[in-house]
Amino acid sequence: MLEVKGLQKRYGRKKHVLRDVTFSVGLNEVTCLIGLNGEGKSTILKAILGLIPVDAGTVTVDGKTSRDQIAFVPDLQTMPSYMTIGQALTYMTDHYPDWNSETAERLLQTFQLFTTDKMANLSKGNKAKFNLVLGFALDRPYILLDEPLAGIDLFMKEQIAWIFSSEFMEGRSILMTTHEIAEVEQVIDRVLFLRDGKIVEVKETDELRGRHHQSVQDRMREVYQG
Amino acid sequence: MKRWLLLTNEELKRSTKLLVLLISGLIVAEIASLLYQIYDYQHSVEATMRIEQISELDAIEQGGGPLLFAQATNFYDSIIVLAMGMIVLFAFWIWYRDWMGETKYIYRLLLLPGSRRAIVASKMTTLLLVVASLIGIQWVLLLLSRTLYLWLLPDAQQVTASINEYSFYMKLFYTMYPSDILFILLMTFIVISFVFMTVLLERSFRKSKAFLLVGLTAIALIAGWIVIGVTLSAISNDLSQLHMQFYLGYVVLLTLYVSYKNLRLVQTRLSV
Repeated sequence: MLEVKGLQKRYGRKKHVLRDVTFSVGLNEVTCLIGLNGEGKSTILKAILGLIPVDAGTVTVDGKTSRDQIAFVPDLQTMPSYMTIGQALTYMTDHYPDWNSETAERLLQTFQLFTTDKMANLSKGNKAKFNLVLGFALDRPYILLDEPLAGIDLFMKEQIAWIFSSEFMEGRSILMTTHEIAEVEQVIDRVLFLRDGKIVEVKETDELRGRHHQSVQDRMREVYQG
Repeated sequence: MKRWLLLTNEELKRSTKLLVLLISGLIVAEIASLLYQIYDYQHSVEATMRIEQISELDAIEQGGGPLLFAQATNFYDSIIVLAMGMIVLFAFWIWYRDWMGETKYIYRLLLLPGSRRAIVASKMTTLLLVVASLIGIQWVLLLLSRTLYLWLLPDAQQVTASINEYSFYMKLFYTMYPSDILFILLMTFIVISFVFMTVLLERSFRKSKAFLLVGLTAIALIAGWIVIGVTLSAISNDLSQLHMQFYLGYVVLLTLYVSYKNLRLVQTRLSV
C-alpha cells in the first residue's frame, strides 16, 4: 500500500501549498486526485516521488520509505530531444534494472510508435503515449500519472485512456491527476477531492454512483461550486 | 560506477554540438589572429622599405627586429581566457538546460534508481573532459601555429627556436607538463564546484536564501585571503611569502566542503 501521511509544503512563509495531506492507495486500485488548477495536485505527486522536499510528512510503500516501487508518467517530455524512441528505450534498459523490454515493445506496437521516431518530432499525443510506455514498462506496482490526457485531441485521448482498462493494469495501482474526468470515469475506483492544499473529501466511485446516483463530474461540481 | 559512465556519456552526447562550435571557434580565432599578426608585420616591413627606401634587413631592424613567435600568437591568451569564460557559462548551462526548454530531463535524472551523486559526478566529469580536450587541442594548435609561422615568414623575419622556447613564452596553457595539466584541471574543478553550488542553491531554495548563501561563500573566499595574509605577517615575514600557497590550501579545503554541499543538495533539496 502507498501511504501518504501529513504532507506539508510551503513556498515561502505565506504560500501554504499542501496542508496535512493524508491518504493511501491500495493494491489494484485506481485513485484519482481531483482539484482545480493550482490546488497542489502535481505538488503531491512530486512530493511522493521525492522531486521536491516537503516541510513535513512521510511517504511509504508497503511500509518502506524507498520509492523504487513507484513509476511516474509526467505530462511533459523527459527524454532528450535528439534521441529516437529506440535510443530512449536503450537508455531505460541501461539505467533501470526493472525495465521490461517485452512490455515496452507490446505497448509501442499498440500505440503505433516506432523505434526510429525522434523525440523532437513526436506530436503531443504521441509524447503522452510514449510517456505511458516509459511508466508502464517498469515492473513497478504503483504508477503515478500527472495529467495524462491534458491538451490532447478526443481520438488520441480515447487511445490513451484505453490503457486503464487493458491487461497492462494487472497488479498495478494507479494514482492520477486529471481534469478529463469523463474519459476515465469508468475505471476510477476512488476520488480524492483537493481544495486549498487539503483533501476535503474521499469518495468511492461505486458509492457515488450507487447510493448518490452521481457521476464524479457531478460531485466535482458540488464540491467546487457549492 | 556504471551509472556515472553512462550519464557522462549522455552529457557529452547532449553537448556535442555546442562543444564542436566552441572548439571550432577557438581554432578559427587563433589561426585567424596568427595570420593577421603575420600579415600586419609583413605589411609594416614592406611599408617601411617602400617609404624609407631601405633594405628588408634595415626595415626589420627599424621595426624592432624579427617577429617573435610570442608576438605572432599575442592574441592567444585573450582567446583562451574567452574560452575559459565559455567553459564557466557551459557549467551553468549543463544544469539549467535540464530544467529549461521543451525537455525536462531533470525529472528523468532525479528519478533514476540509486544515488543522485552520479548526476553531479557526471556533469563535473564532462566539464573536466572538455577542459582536458581543450588543452590537447591547444597543444596541437601550438604546433600548427609554429608550422604556419615558420612557413609564412621569410627567414629574416622569424626567430627559429625550439618548441620548448615557444612553450615558455606561452606559459601554462601551452606546456604539456603533467603537473601543469593537473594544476589547470584542479583550478577548473575548484571554479566549477563553486558554479555548481550557485546553481544548486538557486534551484533548491528561494532566490533570497540562495543569494545569501552564495554571498557568504564569496565572503569566506575574500575573508580567507585577508585573514591568512594578516596571520602570516603577524607570525613571521618569511611566512608571509607563502601567502598564495596557504590561500590555495584554504580554497582547496573550501572546495571540498562545497563539493560535499553540492552532493547533499542534489540528494535532499533539489527541486523540479
